[in-house]
Amino acid sequence: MSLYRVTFEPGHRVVNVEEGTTLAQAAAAAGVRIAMSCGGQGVCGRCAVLLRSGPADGKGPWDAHEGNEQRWVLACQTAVKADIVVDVARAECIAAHLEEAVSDAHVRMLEEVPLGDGRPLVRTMTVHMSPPSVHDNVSDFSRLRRALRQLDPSLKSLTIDLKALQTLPGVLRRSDWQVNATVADLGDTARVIGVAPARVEAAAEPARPGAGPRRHAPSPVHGVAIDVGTSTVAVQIVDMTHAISLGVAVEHNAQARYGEDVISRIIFSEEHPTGLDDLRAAVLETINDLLEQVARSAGLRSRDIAAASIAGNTTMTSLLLGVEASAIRRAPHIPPASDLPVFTGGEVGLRMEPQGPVYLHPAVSGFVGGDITAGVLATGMDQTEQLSLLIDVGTNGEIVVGTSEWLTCCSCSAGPAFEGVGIEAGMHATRGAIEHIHYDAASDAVEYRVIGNAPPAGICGTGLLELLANLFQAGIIDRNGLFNESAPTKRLRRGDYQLEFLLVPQGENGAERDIVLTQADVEHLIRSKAAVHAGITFLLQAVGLRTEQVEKFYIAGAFGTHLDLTAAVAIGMVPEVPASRIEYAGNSSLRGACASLMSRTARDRVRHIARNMTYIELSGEPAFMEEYVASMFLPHTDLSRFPSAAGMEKAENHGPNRLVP
Amino acid sequence: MPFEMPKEKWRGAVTQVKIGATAAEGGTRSRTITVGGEATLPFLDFEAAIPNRPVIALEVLDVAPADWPEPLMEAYGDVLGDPAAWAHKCVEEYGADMVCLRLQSAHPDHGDSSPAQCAETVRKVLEAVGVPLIIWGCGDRDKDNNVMPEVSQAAAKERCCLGSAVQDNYKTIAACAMADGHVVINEAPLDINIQKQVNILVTEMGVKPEDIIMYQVTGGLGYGVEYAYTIMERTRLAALGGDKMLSMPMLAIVGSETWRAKEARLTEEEAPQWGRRHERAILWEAVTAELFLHAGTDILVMWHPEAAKLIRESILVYSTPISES
Repeated sequence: MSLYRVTFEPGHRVVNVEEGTTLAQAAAAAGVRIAMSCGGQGVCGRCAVLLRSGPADGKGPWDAHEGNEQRWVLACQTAVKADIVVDVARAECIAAHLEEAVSDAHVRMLEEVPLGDGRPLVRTMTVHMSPPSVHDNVSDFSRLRRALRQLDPSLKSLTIDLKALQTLPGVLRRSDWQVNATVADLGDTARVIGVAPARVEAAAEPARPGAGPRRHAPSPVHGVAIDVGTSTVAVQIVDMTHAISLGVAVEHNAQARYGEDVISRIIFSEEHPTGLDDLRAAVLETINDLLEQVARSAGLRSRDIAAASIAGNTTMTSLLLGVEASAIRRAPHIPPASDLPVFTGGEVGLRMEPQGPVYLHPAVSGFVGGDITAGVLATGMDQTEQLSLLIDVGTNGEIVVGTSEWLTCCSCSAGPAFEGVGIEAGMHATRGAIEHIHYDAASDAVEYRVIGNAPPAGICGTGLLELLANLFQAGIIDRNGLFNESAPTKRLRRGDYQLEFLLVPQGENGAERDIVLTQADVEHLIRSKAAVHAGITFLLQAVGLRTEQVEKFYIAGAFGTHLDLTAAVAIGMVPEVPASRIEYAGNSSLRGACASLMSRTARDRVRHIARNMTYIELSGEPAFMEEYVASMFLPHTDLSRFPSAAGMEKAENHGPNRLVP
Repeated sequence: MPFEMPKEKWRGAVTQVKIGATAAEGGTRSRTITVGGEATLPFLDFEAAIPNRPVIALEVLDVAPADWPEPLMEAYGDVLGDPAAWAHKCVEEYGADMVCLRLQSAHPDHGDSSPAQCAETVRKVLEAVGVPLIIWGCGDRDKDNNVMPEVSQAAAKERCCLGSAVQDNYKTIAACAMADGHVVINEAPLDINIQKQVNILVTEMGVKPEDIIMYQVTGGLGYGVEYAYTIMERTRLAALGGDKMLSMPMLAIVGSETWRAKEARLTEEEAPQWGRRHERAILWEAVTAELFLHAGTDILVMWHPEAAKLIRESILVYSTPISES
């Protein structure tokens, strides 16, 4: 088979591929990431790239476009048949996203590491043993075990891994029986994964008079908390000994190139012979890159990380481990495992201490996973008699309601609209995304703020939310979300297929193209918010409770961090409740993962949470569908649920919108 | 021990809607019809007031149908193609309480008649009968938005029912109703929430609740009618429970839906196990209408006069006299 050279510009990345390879595959091989929402089926159009030179069997909807001399093709549908140069500058590359795009509040929240309970996932225990003798002739490991148990009687079942055992006799004798043992907590057992001398050898400098033998203070133990989200992966390295955060970073989950949502990724794994391996490799790539970055910025090597605590939804967890996930997407949606054993870093494929423990949060069902159990842990809603409700606003839209005595959950499949997916000018909350926006009806002007102060390239979830509320209040869209063609604005115009509202014209502040909100975008957003609201209402109804009875609402998720509460209520996504009852939980999955890293009590709690949470399947419930349709109205068909929104004037010519909370 | 009939106490009632306008009111109708006002579930007059009885409108098409089965041809064969004569026959011979004129000819695929032509048809029908009128568009959204304003104006002050306002196309017809003093029929696709949403949108435009009739698109017997029944019953219960946005009287289209069915069309030769076609077809329409009566329907739009007669008898058995202006 002939090999051809594919060059990706800018960046001049070159790869040689076999004839017939698609440009998307070539890009993956070259390390160039291109968005493929539909997983390569050729329907979403996001992988469009520009051919600079060379022929190709191109397929793209722009071929017949008037005035388009450029050759845009869909990377997933275009096969290489000669040397070719491809321009990906304007393709939607999934850019790496560092701390700059994470809000200040979010980072601050994550910097607080909970204190442990003395039994973190991994710890160093310093033991001083008496040397063996004829009268005390137990084996080396038994001696160590005895000493460790004296220090911590809860260590009933203690083993040792091979590598540690191999060095044990030597270390014990060289260190004069004073060692730092690294012990991993595996749940029912504990395992010694390393031994090192606690006592320094004869010092080079003369000892001061009266000074005892110098001892190594054991080096701090480092661990990592990881939130493996469908769209975004977040990593936080922690000095577990001192309970300090050493850094947080987030990046887009590279699996997105195989599909934007869990279902399309599972389908990818089914339809391609190496699909499962590819998916696993992609997420490991993202995680390991982040580990390296954060480790480096903390002055560590990633190998210094001794333990990992991972929270991800059921599909993400399965794909990370390379476990077949097909059953998840088919009724009755069975997860491979809910309560997972603790694996090692080496087995899982993380760039950390190979023998270090990797703890994965337990799942509840096929669609409510470790990220949610970790989230419940982080909010503490399982420990209080107060009735709480947690919403993880994201693609899967999981909702949990309950108290310390009971918990129920559901997944309302909100869809990725508020993550910018499926929206004409939508994008993830990365550099170039409009994250705050305000439309003033009186002046017909749009004000906005862009992440990173870069030229606006699109709009992310928080911006979309604010915009929707704004346009509704200004009378640009009616309660159905339909554009009001007689609204007094110059920004409403007819696009190729539908009405659209112009937010940013090409050229303004460096924008490369017009940024618009289309009629279809509004419909997607309304459906998304309707699903969340319906999920909340339905779940409460299912347990015979009302919104007014909920004492605390926790809103979590990458989207939820920046949530504009008034906008969320104005459009009817969140019930109208006093602001004091709402708490932003930020990335609750990551915070929960951190807590689990530090404390056995936390891990036990999570297991209890997972086992006791009852999952309610919404798709089979006609009442949910009813509530969903009722919620597809701004703010809701039952206006009495939103008294202040119902009594609010539309701002037609009144100037900036006002929602009196 | 004497038996005490248990009585439900309802918080709300169905709105009363008056259709038609006499000379005293600025129109030319010889009588008006009032529907709605029920303060309890259908026909339970021992429990609360039921001021008005359900009414029957017979449908008149402005295009002669090409494929009508014999029973219908027998009833209307001589007046097909002449909407005024057809309407006259419906009232004088068949005792219809109202006439429902459907402007099918306006549809681009069925004649594409102009707004002016439609308006002329409406004028002729208004002249031909003294009963209140329901005027329905052709179903093509853009065409109706051109036709209905002119038709509405031609019938100004007659207080007709204009059909129909839907979720994504309600403004034109609502505006016509307000400008020319008509009643709007709000349509929903067999969904109680969408019905309420349309009612909210239309009332927010300024149409009063007393100027609205609700209509859920339904199939006939055997084609989902039980689902329609449930939706209508729930709507009525919501009204009685005090939901003002679901309190309007309800209309059901029975004729065109039931006569679509093969059960109404196949002859004895084609389906011998189904018995005589004439009775079968009439009953198909009548049973559907009867069902909707019990769900709370206030206006039945029917086709066959014999089916209408059966329903009229049913209504008489259950109800109180019609209120007249």
